[in-house]
Amino acid sequence: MHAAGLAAPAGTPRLPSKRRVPVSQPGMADPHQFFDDTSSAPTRGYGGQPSPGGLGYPSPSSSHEAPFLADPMSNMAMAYGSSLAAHGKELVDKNIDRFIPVTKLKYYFAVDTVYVGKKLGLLVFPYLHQDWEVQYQQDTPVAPRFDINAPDLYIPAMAFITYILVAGLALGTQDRFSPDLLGLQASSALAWLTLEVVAILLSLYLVTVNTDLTTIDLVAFLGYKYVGMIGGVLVGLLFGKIGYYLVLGWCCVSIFVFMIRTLRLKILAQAAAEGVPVRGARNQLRMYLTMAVAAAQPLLMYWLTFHLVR
Amino acid sequence: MRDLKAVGKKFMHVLYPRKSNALLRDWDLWGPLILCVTLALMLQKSSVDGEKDGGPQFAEVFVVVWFGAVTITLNSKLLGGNISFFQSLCVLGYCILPLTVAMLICRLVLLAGQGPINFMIRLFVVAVMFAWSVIASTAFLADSQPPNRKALAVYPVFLFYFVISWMILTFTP
Repeated sequence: MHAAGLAAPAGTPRLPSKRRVPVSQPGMADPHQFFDDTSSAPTRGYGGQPSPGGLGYPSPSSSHEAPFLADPMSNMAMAYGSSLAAHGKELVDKNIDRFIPVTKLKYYFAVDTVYVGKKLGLLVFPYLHQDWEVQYQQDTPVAPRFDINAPDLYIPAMAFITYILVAGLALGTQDRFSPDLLGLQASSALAWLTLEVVAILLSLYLVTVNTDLTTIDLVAFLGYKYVGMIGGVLVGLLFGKIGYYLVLGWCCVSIFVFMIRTLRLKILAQAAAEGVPVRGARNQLRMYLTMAVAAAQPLLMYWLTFHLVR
Repeated sequence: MRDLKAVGKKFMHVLYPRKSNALLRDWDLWGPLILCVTLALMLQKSSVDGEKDGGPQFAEVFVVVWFGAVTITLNSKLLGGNISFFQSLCVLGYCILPLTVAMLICRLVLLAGQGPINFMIRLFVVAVMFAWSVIASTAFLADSQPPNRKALAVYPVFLFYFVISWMILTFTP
């Protein structure tokens, strides 16, 4: 498993032996840099190297470097092997984008500490915030770092993980803990989230609303309720049921208001979003949908936490 | 032998966290594997009655450690850090060393019987080692993020070591 600076591409088959040839070649500037990590500064192309460095690939005769590399057949084998690795890595990089939209995900993680702090504050106290519109910059929404109204995935992801851990903690203090319960909590919370997302997407489709609410946006919005849940459970652990109900009640109302104000801009037509009540069956239907989504949040918050606080 | 020396050198780097690139540049996963196996073995309950006491099974410790490390690495990369996948795994794995030492000490302390004083000692030891782990890994990982995002990358690390400390603290043979 030892490799200095070798970023093993996931798609290439692992060669059986794990021994590495220790090499310091004349003519190679820094043998450790042959397979550069793509995350650090400039990567040298894999296929661009004319001579193989003899790194990372096992050889039957591992201890004699000079005669081994003077053999032209193994030179060719090395070159072929390294080009295979490069090809494999390109293939993986190209195809992973089809399943997990990495570049799109990066947008949702373009956050910084100030944004996270302000957003958390907004989640528990959305009453004073005036402008809920996401700023755009030439047709693309601005990164969350620059606009507090933009959805992000960092807070929901961290809140979800913290919720599972806090749930484990709560069960542990009641002596009902066992490690597989953590997995059970995790999968049940994930199942509810998936169900929510599917239900909302289905209803959006049925109501035929033209909205720029993408699936990832929806996941982000639905993940914000975990923040309130964590707060409720933690306070419930410290101060008992009264504290739990108080904090959970506050967070339920806040998340209800937050969701309504955010989704109103996304789902309702522009006129209605500005506060002008527009009569018409379609808009009414959309309003009901928004209220239903927002009302589902407190219900789920209670459902997923009440068994943790006794 | 060379690998062993490299692993030993990295252990030293974790114990005395200084700004050095040795852990990052020449990553290897032997150290984390050894530490993980040791921790999982020591967290086994000596339950001969076969009843499920709720102690973590060997596989569960493994899964928690490795999935936790993978999640933190993914988070760090998505936040835009310039650290590679395996380098991050390497750092996180090596920084479990203080907690493994805490586990050893806890096991020794538990030989003297259980009680509130016993618990306070164990709590203190685990807390100190937890802080050490977090500081050590932060010293390596925080540098890969720009300053306005350091706290965001450190938070999951904190959670990760907290879970491991919790498993160690609640262990009773």
